[in-house]
Amino acid sequence: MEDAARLRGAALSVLSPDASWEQVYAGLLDGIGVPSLPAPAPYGFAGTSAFLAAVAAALGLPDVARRAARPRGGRTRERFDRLREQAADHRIGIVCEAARVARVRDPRLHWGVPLAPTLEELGFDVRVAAAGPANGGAAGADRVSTAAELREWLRDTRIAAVYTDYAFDARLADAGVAPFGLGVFEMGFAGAVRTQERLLRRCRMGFFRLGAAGGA
Amino acid sequence: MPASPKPPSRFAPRCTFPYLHGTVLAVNAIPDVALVVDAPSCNFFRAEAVFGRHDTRSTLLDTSSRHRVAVTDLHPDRLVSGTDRRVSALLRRLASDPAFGLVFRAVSPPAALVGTDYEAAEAQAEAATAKPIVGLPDRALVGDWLDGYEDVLVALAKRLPLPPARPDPDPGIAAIVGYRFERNEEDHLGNVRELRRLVEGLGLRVASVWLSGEGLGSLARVAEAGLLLALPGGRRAADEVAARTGATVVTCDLPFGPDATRRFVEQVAAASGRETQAAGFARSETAAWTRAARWVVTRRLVDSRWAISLPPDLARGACEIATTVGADVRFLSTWSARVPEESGRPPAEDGFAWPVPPLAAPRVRDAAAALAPVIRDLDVVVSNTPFDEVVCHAGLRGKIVPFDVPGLPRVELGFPCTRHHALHDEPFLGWRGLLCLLSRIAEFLPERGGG
Repeated sequence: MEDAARLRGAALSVLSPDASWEQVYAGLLDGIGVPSLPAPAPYGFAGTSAFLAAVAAALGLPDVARRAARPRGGRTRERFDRLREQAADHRIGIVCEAARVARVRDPRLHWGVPLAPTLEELGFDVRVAAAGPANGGAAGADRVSTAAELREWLRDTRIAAVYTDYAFDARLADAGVAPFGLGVFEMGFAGAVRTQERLLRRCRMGFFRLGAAGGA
Repeated sequence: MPASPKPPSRFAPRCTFPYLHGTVLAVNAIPDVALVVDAPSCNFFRAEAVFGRHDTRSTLLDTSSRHRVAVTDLHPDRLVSGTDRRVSALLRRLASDPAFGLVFRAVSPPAALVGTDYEAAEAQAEAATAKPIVGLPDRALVGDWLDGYEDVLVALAKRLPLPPARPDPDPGIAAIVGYRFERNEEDHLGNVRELRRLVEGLGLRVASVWLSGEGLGSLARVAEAGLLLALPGGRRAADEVAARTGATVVTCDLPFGPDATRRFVEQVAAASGRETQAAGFARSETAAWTRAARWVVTRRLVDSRWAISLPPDLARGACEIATTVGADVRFLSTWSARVPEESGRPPAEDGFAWPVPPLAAPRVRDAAAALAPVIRDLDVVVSNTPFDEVVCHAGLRGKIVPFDVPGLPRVELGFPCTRHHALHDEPFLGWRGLLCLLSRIAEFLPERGGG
C-alpha cells in the first residue's frame, strides 16, 4: 500500500502491457493526476530499445529517446549476435489452444511477454501448434487435434524445447523435449542475452532426449 | 607510493597433492598390506590426513600402534650414516606381522638422496619373512598423488602372488583394474557395487576389482579373469597383469556421468560380444534414471550454476552431468597437474568439450582470482574439502567473510572429504550413482518457477 501511495509523486506511470492487469491499473491510477504510459514490453533488444525510447519520449527527453531508439552496439550486442547464430540451429515450439493462438504474439494476452516475437528475435526457429478441433482458425500455426498428433508434431518438427505453462509437463518429457516457461524470460539488453543462454542450455541438454530414447 | 603486488611464488600452494598422498591412499584401500616410507616423521601426517578425517573406516592407524604405515623418521643427523638399518628393521617388523600379506616400500625425496640400498633390504626382509616386499618407484618429485596411487597398482600387478594362469582365460570372467578406491565408506563401496552391477548386467562375472577395499586374496582373483577392464588409472597395471595371465585388456572410460556410463557398458559389451544385452541394459537403465530425475531436473537442476573442482576424471564426468541436466558450469579446476584429457579420451574423439576452460592444478591464489568474479552467482560448489581455501580467498576478494560464504552450498566429492561421510549406500558412478549425486546436489538448489 505504501508503494501505491508513492505513485502520486511519480512523473510517469509506466504500465506493462498485460490485459489481466488493466483493471488494476485503472483502479490505481484513476484521478491521481499521474500520466501513464502503456509501454512496449522490454524483452529482447528491439523491445528494450522501444521501451526506453517510449519512456524517454513520455518524460520529455527527445534526445534520450532518439539515442535509445538507435541500434545498439557494444559487447552485450556482440554476445547477443553470436548467440543468435547458435540459436538458429535450434527449433522451439509453442503449443496453444487454437482459439487463443493470438496470445502467442500479443504480450497483452500473455502476462506482458511477447512470446513468439521475442523468441524469434533471440534467433530461434519458432513453430506454433494450435491444439483443438480441426475446423477452428489459427493462422501461422500447425494444427494438432489429438494427443497422438501432438506427439507426432513434436517428433517430426525436431523441436528441442517447448514453452509450457505447467510446472512439469510429463507429455513433453515423454516426447524428449525440454520444457521452459515464463521464468526464462528476462527484461533488458543483458536480460536478453541471459534468456538466450537459458534457452540454448535447454535446447542442448541431453536429459530429455535420453529419457525419450531410453523409454522407447 | 603503494606497494606493487607480490608476484606469485613458484612454490605457492597448488590445488593438488604430493605423490606420497596417493601412495598412502592406495594402501588405505588394501586392508592387509603395510607401507614403509623412508621419510622424515612429518610424512606420518599423510596417514593421519586419511584415517578418521577423510575415511572414518580406515584401518591405516591403530590405537595399539600397530599402524599400517610406518616412516623411518629420517633426520638430517642420520642422513650421513644412511637409513639402511632402519628401513630393514621396519620392513622385517611389518612383514612379520600376520595381519599383513605384503609390504610396500616408498621413498621420500630427501631420503632418495641418501643412496640407501633398498633392494638389499627388501630381499633380506623377504627372505626372512616369506612375504613379498614391494619397492615403489622413486617418483615423488616428478609425479602427483594420482601417479602415487597408480604406481601402487602397477607394483601390485607385477608382484602380487597369483594362482597359476589358466591356459585359456575365460572371456566370461572380467576384472576391473584402476578404480581409485579413495575410502572405505559407502560412497566408494557403493561405487564398487555399481561397477560390478554394470558388468554383471551384461552377463559377465566379476572376479576382482582393483582397488575395492578388499584384501590380497580378493585382488589375486584377477588371475581368473579373461577380460581386464582397464579404467583410466589402471591401464599400466592391467597391461602388467595381462602379461602374467594372458587376459585381454579392454580400455574403458570411468563410468561417471550418463554418457561415460553408456560408453563403459558399450566398451565392455564390444569386447565380450554382448552388444545386444548392452543395448537393452542401457535402454532400461536410462529410462529408469531419467524418469526418476525428471521433475528435479526440470524444476531445480536446469540453469543451476556450478563451480567444479575435482580430479580430472571426475571433473570431466561432472561436466558431462552438468551439461546433460542443463546446469551452467561457471568455474572449473582440476585437482591434479595432469592435462585433463589424460584422464579420459580426448575431446575430439567423443564430442566432449569442457564447458569452460579447466584450470589444471592452479595455484590457490590463481584459482581464487578466477572464482572471485562468479562466486556470488553460484548455486553450488562440487569439490573436495580443501577447495575451502580457494573459496576463502575468492570470498575475501568479494569482501565475504572467509569460510562463511552465505548461501554457497558445498557438495563434497573426491579426496579428501572431511565433512561429508557416506554412512549408507551412496555411489556416484554408474546410473545409480548419478541419481545419488543429483539428489545430493538438488537438495541445495531452489525450486525454479516457470521452468
